[in-house]
Amino acid sequence: MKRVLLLVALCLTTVLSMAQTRRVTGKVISAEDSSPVPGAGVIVSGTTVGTVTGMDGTFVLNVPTSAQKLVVSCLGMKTVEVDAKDGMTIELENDFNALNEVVVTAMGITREKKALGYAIQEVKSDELMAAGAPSVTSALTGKVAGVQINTFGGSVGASSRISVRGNSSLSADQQPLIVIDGVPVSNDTKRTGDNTYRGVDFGSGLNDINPEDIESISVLKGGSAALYGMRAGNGVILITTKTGKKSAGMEISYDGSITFDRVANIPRLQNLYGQGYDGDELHYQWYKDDGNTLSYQDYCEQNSFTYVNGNWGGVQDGNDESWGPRLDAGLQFVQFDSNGQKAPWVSHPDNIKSFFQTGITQNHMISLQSRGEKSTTRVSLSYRNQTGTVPNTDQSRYGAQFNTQMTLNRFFSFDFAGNYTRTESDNLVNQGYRGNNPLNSLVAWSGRQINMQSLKENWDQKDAAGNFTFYNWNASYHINPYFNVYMNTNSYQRDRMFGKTSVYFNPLDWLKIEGRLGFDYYNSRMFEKTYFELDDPEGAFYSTDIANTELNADVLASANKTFGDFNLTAIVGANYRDAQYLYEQIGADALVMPGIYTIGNKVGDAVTSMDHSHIRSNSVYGNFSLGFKNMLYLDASARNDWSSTIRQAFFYPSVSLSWIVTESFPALKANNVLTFWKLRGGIAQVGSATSAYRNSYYYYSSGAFNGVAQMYKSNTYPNLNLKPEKVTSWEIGTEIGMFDDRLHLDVAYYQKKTEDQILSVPTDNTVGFTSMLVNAGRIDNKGIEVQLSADIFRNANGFNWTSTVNFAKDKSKIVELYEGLDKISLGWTWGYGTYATVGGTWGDIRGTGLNRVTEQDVKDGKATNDQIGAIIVNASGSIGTKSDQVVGNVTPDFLAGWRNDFSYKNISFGAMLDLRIGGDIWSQTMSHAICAGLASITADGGVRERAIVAGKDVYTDYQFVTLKDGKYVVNDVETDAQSFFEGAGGNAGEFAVFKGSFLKLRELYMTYQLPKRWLDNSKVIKRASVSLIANNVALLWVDKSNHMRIDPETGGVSSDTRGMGFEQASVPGSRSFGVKLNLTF
Amino acid sequence: MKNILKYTLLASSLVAVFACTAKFEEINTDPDAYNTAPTTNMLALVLSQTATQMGDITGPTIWAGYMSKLSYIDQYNDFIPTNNTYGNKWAAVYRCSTQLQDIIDRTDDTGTKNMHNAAITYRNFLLLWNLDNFGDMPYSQAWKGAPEDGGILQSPYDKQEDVYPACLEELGKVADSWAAGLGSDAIGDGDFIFGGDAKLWQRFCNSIRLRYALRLSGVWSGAKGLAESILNNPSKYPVIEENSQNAFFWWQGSGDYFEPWRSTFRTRPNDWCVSEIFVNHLLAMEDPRLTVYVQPCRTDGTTYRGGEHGIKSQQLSDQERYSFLGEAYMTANNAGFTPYYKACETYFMMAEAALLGWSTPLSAKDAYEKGVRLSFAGEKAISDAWTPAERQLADNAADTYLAGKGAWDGTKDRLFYEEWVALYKEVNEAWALYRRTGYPKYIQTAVYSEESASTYKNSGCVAGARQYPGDKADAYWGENVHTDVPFRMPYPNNQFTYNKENVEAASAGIVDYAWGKQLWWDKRTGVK
Repeated sequence: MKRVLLLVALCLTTVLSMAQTRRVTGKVISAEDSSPVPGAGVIVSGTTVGTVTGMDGTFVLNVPTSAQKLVVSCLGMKTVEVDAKDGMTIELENDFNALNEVVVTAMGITREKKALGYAIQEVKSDELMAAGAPSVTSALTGKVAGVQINTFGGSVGASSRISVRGNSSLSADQQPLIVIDGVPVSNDTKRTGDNTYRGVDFGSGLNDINPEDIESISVLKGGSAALYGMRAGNGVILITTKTGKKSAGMEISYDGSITFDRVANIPRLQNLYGQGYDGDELHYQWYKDDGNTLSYQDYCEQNSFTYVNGNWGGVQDGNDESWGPRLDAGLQFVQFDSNGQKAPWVSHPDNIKSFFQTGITQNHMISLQSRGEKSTTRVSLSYRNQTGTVPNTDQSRYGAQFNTQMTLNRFFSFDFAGNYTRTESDNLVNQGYRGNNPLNSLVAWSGRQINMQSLKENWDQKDAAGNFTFYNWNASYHINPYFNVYMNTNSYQRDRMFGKTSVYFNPLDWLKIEGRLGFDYYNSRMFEKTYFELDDPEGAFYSTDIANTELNADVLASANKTFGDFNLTAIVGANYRDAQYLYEQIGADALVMPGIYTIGNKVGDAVTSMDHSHIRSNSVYGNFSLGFKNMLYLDASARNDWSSTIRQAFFYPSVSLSWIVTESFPALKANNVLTFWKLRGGIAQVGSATSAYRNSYYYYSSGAFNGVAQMYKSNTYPNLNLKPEKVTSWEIGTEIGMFDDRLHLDVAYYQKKTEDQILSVPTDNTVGFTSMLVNAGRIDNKGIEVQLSADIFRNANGFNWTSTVNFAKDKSKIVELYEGLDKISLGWTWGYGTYATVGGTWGDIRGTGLNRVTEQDVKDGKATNDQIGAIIVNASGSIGTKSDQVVGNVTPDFLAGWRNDFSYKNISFGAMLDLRIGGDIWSQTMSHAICAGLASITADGGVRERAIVAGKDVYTDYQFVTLKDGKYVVNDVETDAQSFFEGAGGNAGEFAVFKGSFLKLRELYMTYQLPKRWLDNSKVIKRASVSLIANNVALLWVDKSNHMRIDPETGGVSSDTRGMGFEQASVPGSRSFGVKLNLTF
Repeated sequence: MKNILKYTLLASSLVAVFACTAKFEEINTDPDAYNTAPTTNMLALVLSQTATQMGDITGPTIWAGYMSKLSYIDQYNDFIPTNNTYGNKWAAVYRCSTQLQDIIDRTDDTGTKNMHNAAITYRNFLLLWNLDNFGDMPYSQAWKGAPEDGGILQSPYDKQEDVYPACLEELGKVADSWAAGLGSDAIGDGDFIFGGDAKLWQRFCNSIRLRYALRLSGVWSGAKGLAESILNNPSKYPVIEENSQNAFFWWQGSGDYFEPWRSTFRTRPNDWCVSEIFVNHLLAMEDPRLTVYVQPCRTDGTTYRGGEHGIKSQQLSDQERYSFLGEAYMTANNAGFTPYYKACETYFMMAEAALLGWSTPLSAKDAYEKGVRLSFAGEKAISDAWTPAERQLADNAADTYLAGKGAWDGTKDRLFYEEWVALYKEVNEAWALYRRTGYPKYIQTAVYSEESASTYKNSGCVAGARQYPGDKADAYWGENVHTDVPFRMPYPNNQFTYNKENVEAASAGIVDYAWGKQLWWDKRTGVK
């Protein structure tokens, strides 16, 4: 029963009573462990007469007296044909052949995968959770071809962005629709702040789900999502939660894990020079060249660094850069933690690392499953607690899940699925550029010599009057990182409930009518407190409440009827949806008494804000599938949507065809090479609707000044006839199984055209508004997805090795935007923006680029052809820059995941590698760490000990030239590292763009299944397993342009499209190792 | 097939859906927005948003010689099109003009005369400011993007020569309308400048007309007549003539509305200081306003020391050696002010008009002295009211000053230096004064100083030369060398992105975005 892929419903077959019968009884058991097989279909060969086995695997069937053979089948097991004898026992063998796989498709409809004319990839719970992934998004990362999941940094509860089949929209939020047990739920990310320089990441809604409660996840990538109409434009992720169906009778399980998270991939920094300025050997040499005679110690004390108050009271002590004196060279300076005395100037190579702590994550879940004659039920209670690698950050999640299905009589049945989750954090770390992000004060701007221990021991130091002294290494720009995480805190509490209930009515054996009501509700509170930071010296707080609710009501009728060689499955339904959103914020930008976060303690006006949204839509939809002899399937669907946000109604059709070639020509299978060959193709149109209130002209209010409400007329010219975005896609694919399906290949090629994008087009700001809302533009995507799996070794009682590769490549082209508009901004930070540019690929990074040799220079006779692209160095040694250049693109060239699972008897182990090639990142950390002399390249190779030449001593992979007598020659202009890197990290920010390629060992696990014979003695425990698990194990390789080894999967700007391609002093990811235990009673 | 499906679905669901979609318009009506808004609340937003831009510390504070930067020193190549700083000022002018036009369209010259005229006054005040900042600008074809307004999505630029007079004509209409009597309507709580006093708005309107008559005195034929009509008709065209009538925007001091200079110092106390240009002038003049305008440096609490324009930031390791702004101007509280018009300006302009030989009610000397006295008296009014004894002291101080180094000598030199000192913090006006008159002369003549350069030089690398305004050959940057502060603000990036052809046409002759072409009324020579 290991590879059970069943939904019992599909095994159900009509029972027809006929005259002249005899009674046959029997029992179906598993060949592997002799356990009963419930839900197996038993059919009289050549007829439609049949039944289904019960819980104990037994069946009773009245067969025609003429009948000789019975066909016994169950999903995931090999179908057998046996002689019909009363009282027989039939053994079914596990079927490793995935051809009969059943998958969940749109509207929760289960279908045989082979009948589908489009790509669908389903990930089962064992694959999701083998390595004990901490969240749904991390469980899914790298496991589905064509799905890119970007988790924004390594902070506790970090949010993720999911994109399906590349990026084809221009809106900030373009994530797929999430549907749980047939009901759409919200996956909105919560981030406060301005989406550029500041904010707190409160996580993604999807992570409210306990991944251990998930039975499977299907990803609908293209036309398969058409039944979701105007919500399907970015794909659909279908999540099916666990039910009691898999259990035999009553079972109680405990799943628990504990993992230890250690911060990994701290940016590579230098440890040779400390805080200050002009302190290296070269500057000292220049000083001596001028005829001065002070010792290096005295020179540095007078010119480079002496601490007085950390705020320019001493020499360079307000400076947060590391261009200071040589470390570990016997020098002595007054330092922030030396009480005014000189102390040895020594390196602390692990000072950043020692700021982080070992995070501990524990998960506990108890689940009860029961399967009876008429009902199946599963209940789970779960608790998860995580402490972050950043001190004083944490998150707890309490969850309850209830799932039941009950058959009342032959006409009526119902099910109910309910989830409740409480997520809470006492503190989540501040992000962005402000002083309250501890990372910014450690990896972007810092003194490399600082002793973290002193900061840790004294962060809460107070003076005689009882006031904090804000003890820190610097007072002009930064505050103590420990003060930040202990005093400037951001708490979070979120209560979420979602669920559904359906009532089924089967008036006829081929007709089923379902009434379904689903809801999703959450209420979250974010409470951001600032005791003190340099941008909020009087303290501040903001309390933000968000409530979101979505109600979906559906009526569905489904029919399944066979006419001769044809089988027709039809579904017709209607949906009513009502979504409401409430946002309320209250707070203060300055406080009377520090540390009291209540509105009465405000200085001046309170910060207040309120926002509502209400959307309603009605839809009708239908899906018709016609199968011919198990070899040819025609599928058509249609949906019509009426939405309150859009005045017109919209129609979404799709059609697809699937042909099982090996069924039509069984001879192909003759030599046992080819097991299965399917060809498929389809075309569909889906949409992306818009948010509320965008098709009218409004006046708004914008806070108060001196108690007077301030109001304005909208600066956006509205579009009264707004349409949803329209995505037309077609795809073709093939699926090939060879060598008894030990080798299975699935290839899809698709093209999609996204039109009528809803664009807030920025305009010439003198025309009376600053943007216009339009439906315009076209983005084309095409791509290929490959899944290859191989059972390299397959031996039921021996060694097994399954290797699976996912590969996806998507290429986008911005065909047009809007008349007169050649690019549109997607996101930005620090003067670098991401854009969609006509003729280009989605996600160009633009900003100040390097001044390079051009073709024009060659024409002008100033340069030769091989110099085109070389970086021009000015006569002074500084690097030339050019504004508004394309310096990269955020879209990866391709993504690949490679998973290997091994098992030998009771032991199984596996590993997953994740590869990404391309996808550029502009990193604020890198930019500023270069500028401030922290990055290792600013000191490696003795570059501060001598005059340097760009291209020869630094950045040796790049070509640098300089103009001599009107011609560009190989750069030979000497400069000093300090001036050079200040320019390279500051003005010439293109040096902070790196290729986001990586190879990661994403997951590792080893599971030991306790032998059944040991457990049999106990009589209590049915099954038990223990696993060693590891996540985000190692960043094995990065592109050499990423010289700081910054984890390319980070963030720090925004938690949606606006943050793509940017890294900003983000918390490095963690490597987690742990133990997982499963006990079933 | 497609159609059959479609019509089947449509028909089967038509009844149900019609019932359900009837409320869609109601559902899609934003409960947090309005179909209209009271004009006073719209005026409120316009005033606070423009004050944010008018009171901004970047740019003209340095170009007028008042402030110097200690960190993040401006460099010649820093003046590039942007949508921040300068771009924000431009955007605020156009955005607020749209809002004000909405007020103007919804009011008229009869029942809502005061609001109508105040909105026109403020709108033209903003447009004139934008002209001063950028020169040629979209005007006659601007604000016409909506299809119903002509659908002009790329606005051509109008010449300053046309826009300045057009704005003054608009202001003239308001002046005449109010000259016929103030309206009866209340401008309301949203008037953060004059507290709803229409009479003060009338004075402000005429004062602005006077200001631009003098600004255009060298280039526009209508200047003399306009100035004389105002100066000699105080009952018809009253102007701001008492400190109590000053046009100041007082900040709320909390939330998003800290006084912007104060706000900058509050979070970044080491980025700015008062300039040596200003401090040294006050010291040389023995000007008693020094102690109001400037604080002694923090290191000794007595020395007044200004920052040197363009010194390399890292050399300023001891930033406490420099003077900050006086308490009334900066540190006292977050609810400071941004000045738009000081009463003394009226008299300095009157003195200039007299020097030009125009007909004025007071002589140049009398007007000058009245201006100085108002400036002295006004300084205390900034923080709180005078006591009679204090008033006497201020008057005495003015007397002493006017009898000493501040004595009138009949020269433009004296007048413009004095006007520059009196305009302290009114940076937009001071920068305009400098560009028009060349005063204070120190700005242009501030040159590269050897001692501020790094002592440690190597071939090809001079770390620490003055960067701006700099020496004749900027060794560090090599290119883009100018000897003067910007002539204008760079046109915003928004224009280069979305109105490229027109902005490029308007940019002809402009060098490095901020130099090359002087404004219409900037007739200085020898600046680069």
